[in-house]
Amino acid sequence: MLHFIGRRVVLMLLSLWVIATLTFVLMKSIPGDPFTSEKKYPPQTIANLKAQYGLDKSIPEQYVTYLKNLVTFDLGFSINNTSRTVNDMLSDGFPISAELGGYSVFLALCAGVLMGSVAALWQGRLPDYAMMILAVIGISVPSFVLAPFLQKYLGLEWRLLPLAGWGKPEQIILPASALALGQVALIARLMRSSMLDVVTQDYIRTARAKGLPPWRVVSRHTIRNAIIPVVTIMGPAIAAVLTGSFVIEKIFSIPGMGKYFVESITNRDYPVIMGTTIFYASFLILMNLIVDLMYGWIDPRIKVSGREGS
Amino acid sequence: MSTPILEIKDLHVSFKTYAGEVQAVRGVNLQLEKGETLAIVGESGSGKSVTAQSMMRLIPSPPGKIKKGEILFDGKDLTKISDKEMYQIRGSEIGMIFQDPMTSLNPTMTVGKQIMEGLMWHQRLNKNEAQHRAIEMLRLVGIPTPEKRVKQFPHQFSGGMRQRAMIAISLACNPKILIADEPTTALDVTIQAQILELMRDLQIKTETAIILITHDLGVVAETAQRVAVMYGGKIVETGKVEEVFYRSRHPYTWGLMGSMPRLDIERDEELSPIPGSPPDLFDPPKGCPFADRCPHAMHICHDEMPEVTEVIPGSHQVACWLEHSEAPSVGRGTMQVNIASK
Amino acid sequence: MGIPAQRFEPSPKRQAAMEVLSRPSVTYWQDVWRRLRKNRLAIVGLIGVALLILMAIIGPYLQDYSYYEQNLATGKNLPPSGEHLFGTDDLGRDVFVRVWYGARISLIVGFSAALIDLVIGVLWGGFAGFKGGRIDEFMMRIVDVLWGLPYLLIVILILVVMNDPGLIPILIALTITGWLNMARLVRGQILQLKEQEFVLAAQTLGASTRRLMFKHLIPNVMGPIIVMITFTVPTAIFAEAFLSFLGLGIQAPFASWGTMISDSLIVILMDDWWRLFFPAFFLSMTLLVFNFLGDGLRDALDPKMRK
Repeated sequence: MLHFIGRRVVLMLLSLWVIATLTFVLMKSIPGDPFTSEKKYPPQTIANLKAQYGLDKSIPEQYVTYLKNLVTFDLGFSINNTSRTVNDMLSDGFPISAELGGYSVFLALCAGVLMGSVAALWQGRLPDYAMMILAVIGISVPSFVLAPFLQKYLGLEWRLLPLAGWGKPEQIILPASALALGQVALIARLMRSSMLDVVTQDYIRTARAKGLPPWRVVSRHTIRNAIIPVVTIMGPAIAAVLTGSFVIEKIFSIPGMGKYFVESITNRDYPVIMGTTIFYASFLILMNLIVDLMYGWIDPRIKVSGREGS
Repeated sequence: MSTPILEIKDLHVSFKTYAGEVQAVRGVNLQLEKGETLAIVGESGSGKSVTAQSMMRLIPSPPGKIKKGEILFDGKDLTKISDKEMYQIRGSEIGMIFQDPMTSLNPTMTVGKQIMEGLMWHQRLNKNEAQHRAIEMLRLVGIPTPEKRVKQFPHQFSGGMRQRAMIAISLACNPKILIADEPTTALDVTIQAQILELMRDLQIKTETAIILITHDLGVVAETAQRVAVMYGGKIVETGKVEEVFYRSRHPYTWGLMGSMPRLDIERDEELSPIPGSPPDLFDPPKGCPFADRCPHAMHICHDEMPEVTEVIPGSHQVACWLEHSEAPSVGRGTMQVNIASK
Repeated sequence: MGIPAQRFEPSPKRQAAMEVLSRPSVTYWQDVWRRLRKNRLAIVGLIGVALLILMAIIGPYLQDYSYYEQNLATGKNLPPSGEHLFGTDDLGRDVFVRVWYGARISLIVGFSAALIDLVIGVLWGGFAGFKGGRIDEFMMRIVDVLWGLPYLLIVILILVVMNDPGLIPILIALTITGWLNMARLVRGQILQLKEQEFVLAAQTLGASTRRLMFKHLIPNVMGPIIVMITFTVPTAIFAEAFLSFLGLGIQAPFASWGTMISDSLIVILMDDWWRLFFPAFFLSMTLLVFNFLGDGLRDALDPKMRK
């Protein structure tokens, strides 16, 4: 198990270093620097600004400083809004995005597992077809297509839920659903095929031979084993919800991190783009690690292979 | 002769597939006495496993269905009782172990919990009592340090130990009958012997009647008192092990004996396989299922199913036209000469 | 008993006929096609994809407008009619023509991305799997590290840096990380196949590395590769729409479904529903038919399902 975690952590640090370096190289490869393209400053001011941001040093030196800053979680300043650091933006926006994303992932997991199980247990009958049609629609309709329709009908025409905004509990329902739908569909499909695979396994027959009634076999044996592959797609699911939040926060005017990120893209605010990207990447990579560890915990067989070092 | 604890009468089981209906079991009659071991032998597709699974009502349904017949246990017909009544019998009155111990245990549940589950459900034991009993069962099936093993997962057990754990699960509630469906087929030869010995010991200790499904005559000789030979969904010969092994009457049983390697008697001829393949159960022959492969087949064999003849009344029975008074007299030796001379 | 004696005469053997296999043999691809044809959703997907390609080619010519032609004076925000089948947008451009023009962009992005992924992924994964040992270890470590990076974030970063929205930058950005899946798949399959006897047999007969790779190994991986391509296409189409929606993709006057949806977000609150509905509908339908086809192909190619 320790070997397993150790290997994952090393890979994770490598990925982080690659993305940090990649970001640095990409930003340095943009012709000119952030100040020459802006309004005409006097040369002295530009030199001062460059010194302030460390741009007067050589590239390798800048790279080392940059890595040092990252290690100390200093993600730099915004150019458009020099009084704010990227860290400020993250501390404002991240809790909001995390709440929205957390609800979405939770919703996707619960609804997906439930729908997939129901479909598998009623295989080839009405609930199965209904769930699977819903799932195919969920996969095919992007969240940024679904969201405006939810807004129009549930928000505007029937006035069931608030159109947009943030702060009240009912304002979370529409954006969280729009974000979750695609993942609900993916999880439901995976859960269904996994359940159908598990019910043919010998150990299910053993459980039935013990005389357990069907609901007990399903709850204690089938679902427990069928959910294992679902855990493996939680990493990609979290990533999809996170990138989806860029557009969802824009559509629903939610003051989260995604909104800042999209604004910084529109304004070409390079330090903010850089800082946010690195933050997002670290977050996702960390989430992947957590998911991997959860997988090792939910499937006891993994621990052994880790101990044996395979 | 005492009343049997389990009696199967004229059992028919079919499976619906896209290509038609497979008649896997076509009129099986069997009795199981208290405390005995009855072996059902036959090649793959003979219907022996389906017969076993029917007794537990574990046939995957759909596509499988018990079409006809009775399975009498404890005054009840297991083919007719409600699902709820069946849950009370399964695991509690009749236990079952399966062929492949590597896949028959739930990989995500500790072995202890898998034993405790049945106890907590059938006997309403609380967690502590059930765990206590689980440890006891593991000790009984010969697993060392059961206190430690009870908390382990199946992948931490070797193949032989897993089959021991399976036996512990199936015997936990002291069933009257244990159905063992090819319990040693997937195991190494040395482990096979250990498992068979364990089953013999346990039978003496617990007085459980065992139905042993196998294709291995060696296993039959070592464990069973009585044997039923199945072919093409029917039982062709039954009797005490000595009767069927040394005084067999059915050409298929002769073939089975001839294709089994033996060390105890010297013989000059090579092992003789039975030529041909088993009948197509989508469209079973109306006569004897073995007729097409039988070296002694007569015209009547292809047209009519022979009646059961009591060779030794109440013990040794055979379904073959050669028993008819008009039939030519042939013996086991004839068949071996016949095949060896080809 | 009254059975005539001659019925107890020995009968001729009938077993000879029984040992002949009765089922005619079908090749693998015939079998796949037979199963695919039986799958209704897969056929819907196949027809859908075909129709989509057809409309992407001829659609823009079916009405007498071009995708960029504006009519600010009299043609703004017209609802669907005989004149403009899908209505017009806020600049008076014909939505029907723009939707099919967008289909072109989407399909070009989808197919190109799939093609580039295929070439890089198959070569990389095939080489790593075939060589094995240290080379494989090294090549797959690179894949593992890149795999840990969030796909769309990298794409966004690259597009921001290129600072030149359009088709080519999108394709470059999409394929920089897109081939990883394919490489992993091909490598895993090749590793498995390599151990099988027929490869050893071919080697014994003196087959060259190239021949072994392209005649023996790759053809046996074709099934999974085709399935993966079918799923790569909608992923790339979705990514292009997503990026265009964020303003990083195709820019006006060119039409992309993502841009069209993004431009018409505000109008949803008014009644100009057609400007949002048509691109949104066709984007979803495109993803849908590719998913149907992919699912059907996966089921048809899965050897586990083979009876």
